[in-house]
Amino acid sequence: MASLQPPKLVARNVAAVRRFSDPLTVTRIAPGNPASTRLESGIGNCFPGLECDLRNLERRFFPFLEVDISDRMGLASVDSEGIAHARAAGTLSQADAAVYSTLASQLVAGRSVQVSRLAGDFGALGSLAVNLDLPDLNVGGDLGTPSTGPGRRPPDIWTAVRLLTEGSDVTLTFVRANGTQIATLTGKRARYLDDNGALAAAFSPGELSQSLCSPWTHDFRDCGCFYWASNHPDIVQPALPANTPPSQPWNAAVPWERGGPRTINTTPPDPATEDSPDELRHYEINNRWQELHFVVGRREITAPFVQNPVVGTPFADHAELMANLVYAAGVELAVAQEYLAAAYSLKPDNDASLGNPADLRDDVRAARAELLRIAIGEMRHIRAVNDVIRGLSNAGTFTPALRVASQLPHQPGPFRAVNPRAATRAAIADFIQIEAQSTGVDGLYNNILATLTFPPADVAPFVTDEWKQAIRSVIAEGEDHFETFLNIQEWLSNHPETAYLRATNLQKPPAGNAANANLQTAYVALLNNLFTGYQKGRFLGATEINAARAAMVGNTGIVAKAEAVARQNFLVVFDTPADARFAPVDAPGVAMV
Amino acid sequence: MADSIQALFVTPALAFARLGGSSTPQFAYDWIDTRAPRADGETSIAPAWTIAVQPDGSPAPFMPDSVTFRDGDLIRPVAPFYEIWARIGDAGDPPANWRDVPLTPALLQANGLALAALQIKVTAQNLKAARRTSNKQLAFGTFPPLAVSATNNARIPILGTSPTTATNPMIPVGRSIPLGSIQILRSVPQPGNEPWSDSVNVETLRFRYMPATGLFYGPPEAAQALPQNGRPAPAVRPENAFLNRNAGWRGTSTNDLVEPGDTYDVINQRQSPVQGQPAGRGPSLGVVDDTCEVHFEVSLQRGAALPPLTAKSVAFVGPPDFAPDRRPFLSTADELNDREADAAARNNNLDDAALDRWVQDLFERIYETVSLFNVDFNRREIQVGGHGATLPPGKLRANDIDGGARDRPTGAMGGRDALRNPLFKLPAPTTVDPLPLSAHARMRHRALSDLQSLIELVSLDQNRLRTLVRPPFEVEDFESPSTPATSMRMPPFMRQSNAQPLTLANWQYDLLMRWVDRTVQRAQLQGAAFAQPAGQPPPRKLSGSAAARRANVLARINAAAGTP
Repeated sequence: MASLQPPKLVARNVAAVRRFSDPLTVTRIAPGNPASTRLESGIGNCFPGLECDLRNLERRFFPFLEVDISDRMGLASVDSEGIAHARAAGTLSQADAAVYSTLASQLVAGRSVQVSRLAGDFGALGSLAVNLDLPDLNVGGDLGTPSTGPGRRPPDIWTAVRLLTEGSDVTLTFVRANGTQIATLTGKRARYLDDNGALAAAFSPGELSQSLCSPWTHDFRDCGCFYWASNHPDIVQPALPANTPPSQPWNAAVPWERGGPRTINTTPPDPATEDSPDELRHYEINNRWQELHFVVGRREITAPFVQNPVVGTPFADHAELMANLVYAAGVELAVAQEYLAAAYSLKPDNDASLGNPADLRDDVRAARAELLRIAIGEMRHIRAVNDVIRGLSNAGTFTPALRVASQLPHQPGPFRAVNPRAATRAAIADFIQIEAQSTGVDGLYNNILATLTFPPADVAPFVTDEWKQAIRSVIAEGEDHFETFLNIQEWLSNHPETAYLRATNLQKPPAGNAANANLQTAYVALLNNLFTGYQKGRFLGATEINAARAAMVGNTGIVAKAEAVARQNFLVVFDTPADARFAPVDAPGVAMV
Repeated sequence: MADSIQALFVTPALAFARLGGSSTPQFAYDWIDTRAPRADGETSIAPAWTIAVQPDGSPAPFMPDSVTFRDGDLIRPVAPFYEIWARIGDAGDPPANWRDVPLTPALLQANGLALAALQIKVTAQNLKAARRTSNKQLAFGTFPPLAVSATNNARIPILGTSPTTATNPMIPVGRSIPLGSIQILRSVPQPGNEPWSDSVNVETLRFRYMPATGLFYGPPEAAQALPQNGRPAPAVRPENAFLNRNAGWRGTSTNDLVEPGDTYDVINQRQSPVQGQPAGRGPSLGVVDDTCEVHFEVSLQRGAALPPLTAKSVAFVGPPDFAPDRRPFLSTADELNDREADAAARNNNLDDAALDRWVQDLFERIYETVSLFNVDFNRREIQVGGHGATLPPGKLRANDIDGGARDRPTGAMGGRDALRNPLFKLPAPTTVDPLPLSAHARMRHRALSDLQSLIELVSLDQNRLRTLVRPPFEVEDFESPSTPATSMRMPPFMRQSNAQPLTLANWQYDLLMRWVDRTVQRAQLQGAAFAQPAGQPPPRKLSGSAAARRANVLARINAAAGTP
């Protein structure tokens, strides 16, 4: 599908901005050009680089001079023609021209000229005057590591030059090979780009790429370059065989530049490890680089890429959106309760019956841990949704959404009743469905996101990128929850329900059960903390929200109290408090059944 | 005359062209916010208006229905278009009053100029061998520059030869290395009723640079495999093994002008030229590639009385961007921005909303890089190819967060690293879950690519980002400067352009810290007292196989329980 939205470019990131350009146009793309033509697609840290080696810019940091920078700074050339033009234009003094002439004559005579001292404005490091290494004379300079904290000096000569502020005064001291001083010169730190954003005239064609690898495939091969992942990946998910869904074992990361044939077999390539991978070798890569796969969405692709957008249906207006957000928070609370009930229905670790078969105990432990993790993750979603509700509310009207949903989205549906129960196969299947893409919770959030993306008139003034991103993140985490429930299903599928459940038909504790009373009291306290915290806002309410989190997972928190109920072989169920703030909420437009 | 042409410029002024063997260039695509929210990452790619070049050189815009990177075995080259624009205004008007408009034949005519007055001079050079040998005769490219009139709409090959002054040319006389082509497109009247009419102006004068196909060239012996010399395959095809072996590139060892110095094809990969030096710095096999840097100088002759107007643009030719929906967090653009005088002013011009957008975009880019980064490999110690420093006592915590589960607890990002967040315990790599650190990094940065999560991070610990993100160009005393071994300060285990620990650019760091300060300030204005993280939520991990996930979960809960 073609792009229906503006390209993702942030004006501040755009380089090579023309000096007279309209700030509104700096992100314009010349029609016909893919994003990979843009400087934003190139890796900035070059050692030596893929498209160009920006260190070559520093070789012309001083007007009319070209220097070589390594463990020393040596003069490479003097632009006598440029000096003559500057003299004719009256922009260079006779005295400075004479110094340039002296330096040029040294080079013509085959004598080495080095820079022994550099003074100028080093940006964040301030104004400094530093002595440079003169290795041939065994003279050490002021630069080196460590380079930390206030008053630090640049760690090396290139960094020192790199930090100089364009247009500021720079003073260089030149010495002969024997260390005797030739002269000093002061000039402005040169501009590297011209008014139109192209390379300044001082740079000849080929200069910016002269220090790249020859051939370039060395950069693609050498292990020391494993830091250009954004267009030269270290690890990827392998290309899928035809008609194979993106599931295990095809989700494990493999080395992208792996050696061997790149045919797509019925089994995936060996997974990547922390050891050096078996890569395409030097020389070999020269003839095989076009076999490397392109990678989109972290997966190698072998066919044209088409994104299959998931677009919900926008709600009609602000009121409908807000009602659905309140319901979404309620759904998060309800599914968290279902997941907790399921987690505590699993036999405890020390249950003797978990010893056979050998892996049963670990299957149960892992399943419980993941159920608890997801349940707590849903609590984060409640916070995110409340932040969005606050953002979409008129000042002073925000009320935290902590009412548990009375029904959950379901296929076929549209709804089912909230049903805390043991982690039976049916329950896990329900959990998978409610976290699946485009159904259940995901469908609800897609509609919310669509409303924020294509807002009706009364929503538009409230919409910010932040709220859209918050909803996107909730949706993205749904994918993790979905995959996790698939894993839990797989772990537990090897065992009969009676082998891992305390009981398949666990019941609520009877009235008057002390452990349950403790649990319900803690639950109400948790809701109260969250309500207060959300109402105060994300900064002022941090204390209450942290307290709520502690109450959830601490040694005396809800986790421990729920465990106490479960130990008595009861189902962990959270009663709805008799408080209007926490009263059940129906799906908008759906009456409670 | 109000529409008098005062100046020219070319857009883009700098662009990347990317090698590929297909004869069909890469169609246009844009980065967009993903419309599949459950996709990996926030950025995706979508087709954009593409310009097909007709046989007569005229542009024909169309919208592809997919993004296609290759045709069979061959990768599509990235061939940028460059538009020529004019700055127009009254004679004597200051530049601030000039307007930017596309240069068209009609505008030329209105200024009394013919299309033939417009010309492009093309200079393409590959100086790699020349630089490494300090021998300018080993440069190759356009000698002399190629001159193309705007009336010529043919596709003109750019052929690289040795300098005409070379007495012993590397490229034999009569041979050449193709370095791509240039084509000035034929301007045609702009229709008003096409779906692309608002997006593409086909009347604009533009040209396209098509890079070479990605071939390698060398002397005859480079076409031979020599396994005993560590050359398991030929470096070049037989038909490209025609370079002069005695020109000076073949047989020359590297000098110190290029760092790192071992990045070329050598005659013997297994033999060190100098005792104690790596073998990769030995005599060169004499191989060159068909990348180059191309400078385009557009000039407009305005008659004898006026000097010509000129404008310049550049193409850097490099390899494909193999992960086109992943963006670097320190790009070539970011680096150039850091060297420009207006960096501080551009930072200051960002209002709070723009700053929020920028910070979120930065962290999205960080995730996009991390998502393909093998953190486990790079975290290892130097001796086995990693970049993780061993920490001094002052950088260690007393207890091992990971409960002894992982190796190198005193290494960067180890269990005793004081910078680690104690809420997240990590398991050791296992057969079924070999890269737990990489998975953890993806999980954390996926969350932090949401501004809300970043705000929460700051609200819970106002110093966390300042502590964790390395200031520009900082190097600590225990971090090896030559073979970089770094702490876990962000970005960890990566090296910058001079092989020291990588950092954000100055302007990026300044903006990020401004955002942190503003966020803290906003919180304090609301009266918040910063709290330390409470509780101990379990780590949250993203996808993995059922077995891998299980092993991981068990490792996690075992570590939490202090059991083996």
